[in-house]
Amino acid sequence: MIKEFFEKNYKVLMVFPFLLLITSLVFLGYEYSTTGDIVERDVSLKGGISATVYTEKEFEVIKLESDLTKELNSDVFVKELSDFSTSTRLGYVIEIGEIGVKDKLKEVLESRLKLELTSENYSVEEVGSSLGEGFYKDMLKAVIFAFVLMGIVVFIAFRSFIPSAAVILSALLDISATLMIVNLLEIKISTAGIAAFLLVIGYSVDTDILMTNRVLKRKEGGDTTERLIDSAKTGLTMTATTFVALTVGYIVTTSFVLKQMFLIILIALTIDIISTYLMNAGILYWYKKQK
Amino acid sequence: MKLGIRIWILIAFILFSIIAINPKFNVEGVEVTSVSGLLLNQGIKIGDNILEVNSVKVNSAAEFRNEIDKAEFKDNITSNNITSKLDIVTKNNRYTFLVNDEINIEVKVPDNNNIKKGLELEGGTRVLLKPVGNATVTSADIQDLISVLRNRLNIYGLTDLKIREASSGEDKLVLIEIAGVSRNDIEGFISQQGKFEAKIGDEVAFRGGKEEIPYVCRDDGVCSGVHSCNPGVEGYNCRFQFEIRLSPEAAQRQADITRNLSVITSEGGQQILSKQIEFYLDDELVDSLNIDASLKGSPSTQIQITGPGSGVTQKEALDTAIFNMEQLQTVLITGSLPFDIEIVKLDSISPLFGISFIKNTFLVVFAALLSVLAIIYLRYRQLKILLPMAITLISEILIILGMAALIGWHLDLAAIAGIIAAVGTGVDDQIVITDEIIRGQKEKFLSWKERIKKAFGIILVAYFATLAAMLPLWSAAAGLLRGFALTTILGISIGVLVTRPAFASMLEKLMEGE
Repeated sequence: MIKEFFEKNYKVLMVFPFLLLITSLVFLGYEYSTTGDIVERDVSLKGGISATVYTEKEFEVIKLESDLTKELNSDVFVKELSDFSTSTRLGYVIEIGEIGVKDKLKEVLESRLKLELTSENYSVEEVGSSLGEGFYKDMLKAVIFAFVLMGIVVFIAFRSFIPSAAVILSALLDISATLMIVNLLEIKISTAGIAAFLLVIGYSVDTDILMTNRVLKRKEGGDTTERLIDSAKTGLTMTATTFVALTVGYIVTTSFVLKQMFLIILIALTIDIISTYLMNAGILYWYKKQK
Repeated sequence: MKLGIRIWILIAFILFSIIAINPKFNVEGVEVTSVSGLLLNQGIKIGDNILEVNSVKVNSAAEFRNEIDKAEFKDNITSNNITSKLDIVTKNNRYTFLVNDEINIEVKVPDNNNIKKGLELEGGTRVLLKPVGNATVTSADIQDLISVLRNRLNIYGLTDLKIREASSGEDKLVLIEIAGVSRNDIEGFISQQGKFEAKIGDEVAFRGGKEEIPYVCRDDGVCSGVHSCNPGVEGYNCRFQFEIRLSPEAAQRQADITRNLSVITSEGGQQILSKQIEFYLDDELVDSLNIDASLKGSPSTQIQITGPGSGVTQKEALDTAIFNMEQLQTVLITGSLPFDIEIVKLDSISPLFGISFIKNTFLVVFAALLSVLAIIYLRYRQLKILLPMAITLISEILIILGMAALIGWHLDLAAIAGIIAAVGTGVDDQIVITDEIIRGQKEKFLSWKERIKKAFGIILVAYFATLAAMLPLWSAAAGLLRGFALTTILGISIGVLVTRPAFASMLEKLMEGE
């Protein structure tokens, strides 16, 4: 049944991923032209201070945020840190997009929280704004470089233009649509968040390589559609395991760094189902039909 | 049943990893991570395992600090003949001595295995430095800088540190990571260029550094210390003094300068020279002293360096004086940095979160493993597949940890993310192998060897694609995410070379009968 449906509608099915690709690219282009950036960056990529207070005491996050913003005269964001497994409060993370207020911040926090902050219960990370900018450029270069290297590997592996291009196009869709969603969710991306995109490249091509290999490089295993369906079975199992593991990880982990990485990969995996089985499969089917 | 070479290789790797990780179950006391001054002179070294302080068992840094604080001489300068007794029992030794000075020691809970923990897990200080201005700085310059910095930190009592060249874009940087130590005063020690000059009039008598000052007295109450504290206009003023020795050349230069000065009588009736000796640190005047008339034209090699320290309270003034003295001593010994630097990133991370994070990570990995295995069971409904899958996944984690322990890699947050990523890829590959084998079973014409070869055809391309994606991360962003790239690459490589062949082999053995 799936077989007939796919063979009849594969062109229509391809419309959605292509629309998504164009929409996301236009969206990112628009973002870039209006804000000068394709993502919102956190302090690790923009410069600023990220401080963590470890305390079990309860404070109202919103109040703390507005109090700090007023006293430091600079936008302050506060997040609560809690442990899922024991559902206890671990502390608070405070982010400020400005440096040079480190001592003031500590002072204000001590008086607001009525807590002496020592090297035991207080962590503070400071990034100079030019360094943050440098890190951002570094990471963008790393993503572009990684993408090109991956493309070369794919071309060497399959040695034919259209199937290789389809794999790369599918990875491009994963990245651009994920970036768009990250942007819409107003997630402030960190250095590690961008590193997650490198993993997205890796995970994205996994299922595409599997499918392309089964369709192009095999002599046995039925016609093209049967092979596509067969590889979808394997590929979707792969995606399901990763998806479940990352969801569990996202819920359980106490680290905001890991949470963000997991979330980005989760979004990308969802997009990857569309890009692999609606777009790449369609291109491969069409390619085999032409031959 | 014969196990076959691939499974034996896996077993060898697992055993090897366990040896490399070397889990210990009987750790007690605390381990010394940095020590200087009195305790060092007594013979206590970095790495010593301290069990008791003044007959109280200590099992955490806080407990240790508590006991030391009780014993530590904390009185003010006027009563410095008060001493207290300190009795420290280490695993191999016992030290009993009197204390009349500040105690400089840092400890941590000893590791119960060989896996080194990174800053996020152990707490510590991370500093990223950048040369100031646009001056072209070569790698050789950076190496010079690193050696001066290492010296300074060692003198400061910090020897367990990582210091390396890093980069961000075109900028050359220096990365310093000091595990287990979170101190804010470190900033001044590192970033100070430390150009020391002693001037008489406009002429430089001598400069900081080994060349002209071969010896600096420190950690010795006789020739170095704070010698007076007096109430001033606002709060208190203390003065420190320590002795240095000049090289013969520097002493001669000083003699040549003083020879031409005239002798005058000071307000106090002392016979002194017409010009003072002035100490400058980074072009700022630290202190100036009268020169006794007897030193006129004399190539004296023994010189007293002095300086002030002030504060609202006497304690504060004393602390400032000690800090200023240590800083000056440090730059006199190590000389100045080859160029001016600025701190572009400074992190001080509490060890507290690390402990709960490690527990949490175990939970994350365990929960993720269980959920993956649940999906696998739902899909295949065969224990024969589930079991090798579980064995392979767990051994992969074990081998990555073993390898990391072997090369002494400090596992940080990024590295843990990398391990999770590598295991995720591992599951994917095992599903490919399983499906190829099951498919092969349906199509009788394929041999085991051919089926596995086909699976590895897919796995290898995916391997190289992920490898390619991870490589650029090695040096990007000052290499702070290097751990992520390393564990991912290590994980997928171990997977392709060791665990996945063994997995295929396990499946083959288990399904052979069918």
